[in-house]
Amino acid sequence: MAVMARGPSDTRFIVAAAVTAVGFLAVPFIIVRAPIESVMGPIQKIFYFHVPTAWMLMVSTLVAGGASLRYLFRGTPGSDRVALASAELGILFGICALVSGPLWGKVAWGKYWTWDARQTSTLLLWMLLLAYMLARTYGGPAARKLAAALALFSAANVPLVYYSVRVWRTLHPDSSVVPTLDPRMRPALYLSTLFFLTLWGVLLAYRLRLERVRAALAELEIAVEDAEEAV
Amino acid sequence: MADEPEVATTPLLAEPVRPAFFTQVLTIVRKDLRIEWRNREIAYTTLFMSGLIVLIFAFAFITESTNPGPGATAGILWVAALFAGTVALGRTFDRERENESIRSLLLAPIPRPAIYLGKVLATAFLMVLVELVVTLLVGFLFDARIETYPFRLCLMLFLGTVGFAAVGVVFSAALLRARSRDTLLASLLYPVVIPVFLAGAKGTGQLLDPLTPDLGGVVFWTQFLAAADVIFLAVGLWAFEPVVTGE
Amino acid sequence: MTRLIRLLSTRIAPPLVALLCALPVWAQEYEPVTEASQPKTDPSPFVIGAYGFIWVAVLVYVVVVARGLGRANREIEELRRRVDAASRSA
Repeated sequence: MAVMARGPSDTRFIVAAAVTAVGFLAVPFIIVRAPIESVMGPIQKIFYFHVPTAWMLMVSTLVAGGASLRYLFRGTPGSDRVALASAELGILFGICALVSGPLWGKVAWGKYWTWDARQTSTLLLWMLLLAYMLARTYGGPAARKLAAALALFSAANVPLVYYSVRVWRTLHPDSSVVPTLDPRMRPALYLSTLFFLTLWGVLLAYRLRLERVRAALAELEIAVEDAEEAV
Repeated sequence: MADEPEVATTPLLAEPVRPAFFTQVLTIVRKDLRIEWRNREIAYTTLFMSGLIVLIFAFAFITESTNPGPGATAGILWVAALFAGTVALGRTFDRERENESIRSLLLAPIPRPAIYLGKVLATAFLMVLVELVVTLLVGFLFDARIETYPFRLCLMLFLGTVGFAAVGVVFSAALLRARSRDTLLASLLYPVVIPVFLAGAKGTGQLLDPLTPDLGGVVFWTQFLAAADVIFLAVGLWAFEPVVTGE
Repeated sequence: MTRLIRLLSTRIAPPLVALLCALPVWAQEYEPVTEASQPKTDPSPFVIGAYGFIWVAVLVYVVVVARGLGRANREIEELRRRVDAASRSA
């Protein structure tokens, strides 16, 4: 059975997972060494993890949308699996962003939730991905196509959500925070982002593996039933 | 031999002349509106429901004799439109399912995008009619200045409704045969149309402000609604066929 | 894969947790710029809480996927046995 044999992709996966594990150890040191922000103080350190998780949410939404577009028009099960895995990762990283953000906000601005533009947009994107999982699970006979359509609308919705909520309210550190960032803080942020991107890729590959095994299992079940009936 | 008069003959297997795309769209729209006109079920029930929602919000928000401000009034109007629209969408596709007419519609030689656009326009038309009545009700109950910029108000309502219908038709069609259709339609539709709702509510709120109507803001939100409509219609035109035919 | 998970949870997670507990050492480097810019709430539990939540969430996800993979592989083994049994009795 192909899914159980070890191959080159297995080795690549183990290497990538090992690199990610090293990142778990290395990145906190780099973040601790980054200078303390003069206005907010140490609480600003959450930024190095909070911002990349929010970016991973956006990446997941866009990848899910792209994969869903391919699935809707080519019908390739592989694209559907990528969309599902991406949506799950989006929910995971989204919840990380939605928890770390308010913790930062509580210390920096005194309130957990301020209906700030970025905060609200992140919540909306996250809810779109939750809706994707609902559609997938309870959508009836056309569940996969329905979920794919939803993912497509969600990806197209990303600029609309961000733009409309930003015009509605703005309290967040300015959207151009990265260019105005202290240069000594940039390496930590970029490294942290790279670490989260690698983590995202590793988790996606791992999750896709589960879906491939499940698909192979479903095919095998049908084959076994046929074989047993023939006997 | 005398010249035989030329008899025009049409080949037996001539290619039928297909109507133009927009003619087919209008056929679908006319079909839906004609069916609706016969019993007016969706119009009456959604109108009544919108009125009830407006009343419920009035009980929730009005204290003593003060009316809600223009922002809240606009919000109430758009929430009523949102809920009523969801019911209308569900009911429109219920009809297709009950009589299995969706199958005939899909078998007919009409391009799927034409079916999609026809459904969107028919649903939007019905919803706008209901929303106009609800707007009058809101203006009456909350003393809102709906008469100051009626054209801009109607335009915003129309654009918002088209955006809502553009997404709703795709999801309703996909949920046609799902058992959890009633619960799932709102759960899937609302997150996607929140930017449209936000733009409509904020823009209408700025229009209804009696002291300083922010026309710059109104223009922005109207343009935003138009852009959202273009995006959602484009996605819907692509996504409708796979979801309505796929299992 | 279960080997990797076991490795993560037994060899890597404990020193990681120890590292997290040691992070407050940076608090001693803090120098307020002005009186007004000093945060009124102690930020350490919030920072540790945020980091900790992210790592726990990722670990939980990995464990859930690993369990699903283990279950699916076991079912494949079971089906293989049934196929072998069916072909032997044929």
